[in-house]
Amino acid sequence: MANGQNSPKTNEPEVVFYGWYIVAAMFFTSLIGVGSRQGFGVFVKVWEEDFGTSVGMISVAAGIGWTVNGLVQPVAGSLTDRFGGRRVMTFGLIGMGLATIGVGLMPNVYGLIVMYGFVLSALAGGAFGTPTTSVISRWFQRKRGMAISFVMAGGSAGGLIMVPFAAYLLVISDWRTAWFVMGGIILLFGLPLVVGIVRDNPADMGFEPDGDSAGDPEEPNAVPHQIRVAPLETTHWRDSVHSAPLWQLSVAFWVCGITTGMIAVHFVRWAESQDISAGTAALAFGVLSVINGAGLIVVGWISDYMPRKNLLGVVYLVRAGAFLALIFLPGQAALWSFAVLGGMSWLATVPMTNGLTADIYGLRNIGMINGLIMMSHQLGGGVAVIAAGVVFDVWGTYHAAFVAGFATLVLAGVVSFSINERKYSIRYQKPLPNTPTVATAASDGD
Amino acid sequence: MWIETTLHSALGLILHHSEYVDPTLVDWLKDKINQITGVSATTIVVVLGVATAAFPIGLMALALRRARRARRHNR
Repeated sequence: MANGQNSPKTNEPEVVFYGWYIVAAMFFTSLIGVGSRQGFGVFVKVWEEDFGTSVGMISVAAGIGWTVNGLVQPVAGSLTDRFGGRRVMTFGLIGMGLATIGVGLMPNVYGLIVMYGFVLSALAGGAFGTPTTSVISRWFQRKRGMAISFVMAGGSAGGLIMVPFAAYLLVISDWRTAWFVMGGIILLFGLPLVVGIVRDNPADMGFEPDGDSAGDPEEPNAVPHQIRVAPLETTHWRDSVHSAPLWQLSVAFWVCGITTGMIAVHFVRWAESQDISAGTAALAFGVLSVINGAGLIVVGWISDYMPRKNLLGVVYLVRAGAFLALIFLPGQAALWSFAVLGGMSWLATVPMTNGLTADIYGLRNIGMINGLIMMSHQLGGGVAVIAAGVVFDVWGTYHAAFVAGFATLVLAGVVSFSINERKYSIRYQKPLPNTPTVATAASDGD
Repeated sequence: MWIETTLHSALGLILHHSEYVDPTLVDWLKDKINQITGVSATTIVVVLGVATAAFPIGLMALALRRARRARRHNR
């Protein structure tokens, strides 16, 4: 990905914009970070035997971990705004690596709950997620959607690489060794990449976002160079709470959490209730994951060339279609329709939501605002997991839960379409004549 | 009972943000890899481990080469 900017240090043309090095580094930290957390499921059976406990107790660690990771996002975002993403990620990766090794030292299930549910899950909030997208948003403006998509794809790749790695490691050694090795990988390979490659701002290295030359009018979707302040950028993040887009994005992402959380936890149980074998359901998961990875990159790329809110609305409606399949189609047809439609929309919401947030609220408080929106996602997921369980226990079917999922997804689609991107996104601002260096976008409060 | 249902199935999470992989999927994946490759678990661990390590090492090498070029040009 060549770009037109010369290196500010050497005045040589840059073959690859430095921002892509940062994307690659964060791709890898997402790969090992998300991958090692997803690997939790591999160890359930052996913990059951080793700790002499129930799956339910082990699940408490998983459930607490999910909630803690959601609650810590605004904190990680606030720290990112204050100290910079590189420092937060460095601290997060050191802590996460040590906590991962610490899981391997736990003597019983209570230790697991504390170390995994609280310590590891909290520190993981600093290692990837909010700090990652905040740094990427600073390095990319025109190609923000695609850059965030690549980083998110690292998480998907982590599931495909780290999970089998952990599973086979368990075959040739024991679970404690497996967690030591995963912690070692985080510290030995993830940490040096962040320390050595990641920088908080392109200006720190004398670059413009996207590697553009200053005020390059040739770029088709370039933001006018004179505009430095996003329309709703405010001095303090609290002022953003009074603006509509924050609520629109949070409500839509809350629905994203509801629907992915519900499916993630209850899909196998639903499949079994439809007389579909667990193996077939697992195969459908695999198909969903592959389509998810490909769809994520494509949607992220497209979102850089058209209004992000329209694409976001379409993605939610596609997912609503997937829920409609679960409601109306018979077992196998519903399973495969959901795998395809759900896969197309599974992670695609993330680059567009984060991209829109940066476009609308700017970079000053991007960490905190991203963290708040991410928290709404995780809390939505937590509520939906419990609610869908209640529905199944009361009625013996997930029908009502899927209808609720469909309805909320239609709502999310409508809410996304209703975001006034042309008014509030920095991508659509025009510089005033004769004001070449002054920000023209007003900081109104909606 | 519903809380038991929920907690019990909390391990069935699939790949969204950083949720936990379904153990059934892992078993299925292991069976398929064994069927297709027929190699030992040690070999698979080594291959996946090398693949995992190669990416950051390669990236660091590229970044160092870029930095060295910049330094040489400055002199």
